[in-house]
Amino acid sequence: MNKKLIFTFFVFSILFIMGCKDNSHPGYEYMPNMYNSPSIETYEEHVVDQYDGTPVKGTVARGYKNLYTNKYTDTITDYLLSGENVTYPSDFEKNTKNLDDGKELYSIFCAHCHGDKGEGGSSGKIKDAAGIYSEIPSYKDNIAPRRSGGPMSDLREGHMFHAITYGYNAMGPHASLISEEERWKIIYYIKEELQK
Amino acid sequence: MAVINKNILTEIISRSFFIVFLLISVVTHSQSVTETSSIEEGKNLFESQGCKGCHSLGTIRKTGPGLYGVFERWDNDEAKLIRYIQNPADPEFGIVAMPAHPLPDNQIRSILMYINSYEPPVVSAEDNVVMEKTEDESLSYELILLIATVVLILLILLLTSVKNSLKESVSENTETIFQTIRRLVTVNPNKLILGFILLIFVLRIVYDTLMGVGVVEKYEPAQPIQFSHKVHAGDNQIDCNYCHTSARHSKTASIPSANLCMNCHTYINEGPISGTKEIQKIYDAVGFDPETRTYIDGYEQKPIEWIRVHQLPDLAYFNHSQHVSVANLECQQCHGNVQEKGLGAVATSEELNQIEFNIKDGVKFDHPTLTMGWCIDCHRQKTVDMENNDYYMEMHSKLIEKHGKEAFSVETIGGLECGKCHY
Repeated sequence: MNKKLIFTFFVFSILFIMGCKDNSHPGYEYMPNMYNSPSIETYEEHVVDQYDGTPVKGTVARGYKNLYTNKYTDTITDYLLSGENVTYPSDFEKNTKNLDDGKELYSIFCAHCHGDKGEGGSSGKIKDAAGIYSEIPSYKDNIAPRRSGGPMSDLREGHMFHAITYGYNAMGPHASLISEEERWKIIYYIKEELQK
Repeated sequence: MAVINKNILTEIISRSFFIVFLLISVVTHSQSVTETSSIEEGKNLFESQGCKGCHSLGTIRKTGPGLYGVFERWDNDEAKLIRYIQNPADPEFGIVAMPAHPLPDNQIRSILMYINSYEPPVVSAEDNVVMEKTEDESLSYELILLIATVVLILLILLLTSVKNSLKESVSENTETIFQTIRRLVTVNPNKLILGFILLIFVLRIVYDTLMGVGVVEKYEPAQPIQFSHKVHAGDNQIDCNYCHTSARHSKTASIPSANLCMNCHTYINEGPISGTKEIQKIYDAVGFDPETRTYIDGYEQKPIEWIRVHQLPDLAYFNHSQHVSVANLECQQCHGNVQEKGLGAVATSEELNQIEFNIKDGVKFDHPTLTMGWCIDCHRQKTVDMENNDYYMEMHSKLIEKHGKEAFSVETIGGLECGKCHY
């Protein structure tokens, strides 16, 4: 009887150890206190008095100057104003480097919906069940007046900048993803390569 | 005389052209004035004027609402609806504007006739039954295993009882299952060999456990949302950098925030694998109503608590932008073919050795991923691409002068110095 108990215990302990090889657990560390510091790491849960995790009021993230969003809001009036008044910043150079950067940024942030050549329609790679992202207008589109008053092919830099910043219809706002400088590079690439 | 004649001739010709032009324009104008509206014309206009892009004829909501029952929603006021389509920005309406479509009244009437002629297809009871059946067929793996286990145990019991009844019939001694197992184990002629095999077995387990300390390969924690990288980065080919925005210019690759999910999921409410179930979790977090496509006022938003998968110990410094933007590495070289997997997981080094970019770069890993040996493997083998890289432009010429060769590994430019990562 006793022998049988020991044997079953032995079998079960082996099974238990083998069962521990489970992918939902990160495993063990030699010295955990060298792995985890008392300072707050990125994405760590934390409790700090009077701090809720949002950026401190009045601070500006590097590369995000927000010169635009202070002036133009997400309204149709500001969209039209932006189209009239906003153009490339004075320190933006129209050179091949910015064009290449724009091309790369376009392929990261735009191509999966607008298509590699900006031709819209079903050339985008996103295939949703309702087909919303297969009906995107081409940058060279001449039909139906858009909200700018003209067709897509007549869009000005300011219109595009507003659209990237605040989004429109099925396009979400991309202000938090793409810095202002990068937005100008993308617009430069679209104007130079995709609308010509 | 001949000159005058020529002048008169040209004048006659030009005048006659003008009259013909006038006639043509009057005819075409009168055609548009005759206000003929037809369903066929409406169909063509619906497709060519871009209505189709934002509206479905049924009840499905695309960018704009589905058009079934649109007349009831506008209190059957056709004139008002036509005015709205021509100029939605008019303050008379006070609702979100679609692009203006300044078409003549009769053409819009054609479109409306076409919209009105649509009848939603009747879903028959048979279709519903078929759909339910397909759902039932996808039995989970665990359930199949469980059924198999139960069947096997029943089989053992059955065979034992058959054997016992046969033995009884020839009046031999019967034994239960436990007695059989015990006899097989204890009545072993050479207990030493059995003990030795068991010892090796146990030692192997102890060795594996100890070597696994500090190794996180294959770590794949359950996440609050059953996210699929395959659907996003594989099937729909969204670039990794779209969601992991900060990998290009910061230390961490960033777990996307919910506002980034909402860039697409404002409109995509249903996924190919889990339907609306998992996407609804984003809406629960941010307070979004997919029916009306609006954010709920005063909703207490809560973060989606993703579990971090790749976490280096605090004693090691790592920077994504150095590897993504400067070294121009592909994400797959360290993370494996994530676009073919579901949830985020730590790739194994065997898996990384199969990646074509690593084969091309001549990198072969011998150590488990996310250990120091693994970093060193690559830093010793990978040739730094200095040719098309502004970052190394000046440095490269200096290095050629110093070492007298063209290609340099990361090691040559100080990639193995302790202080680079541990300080």
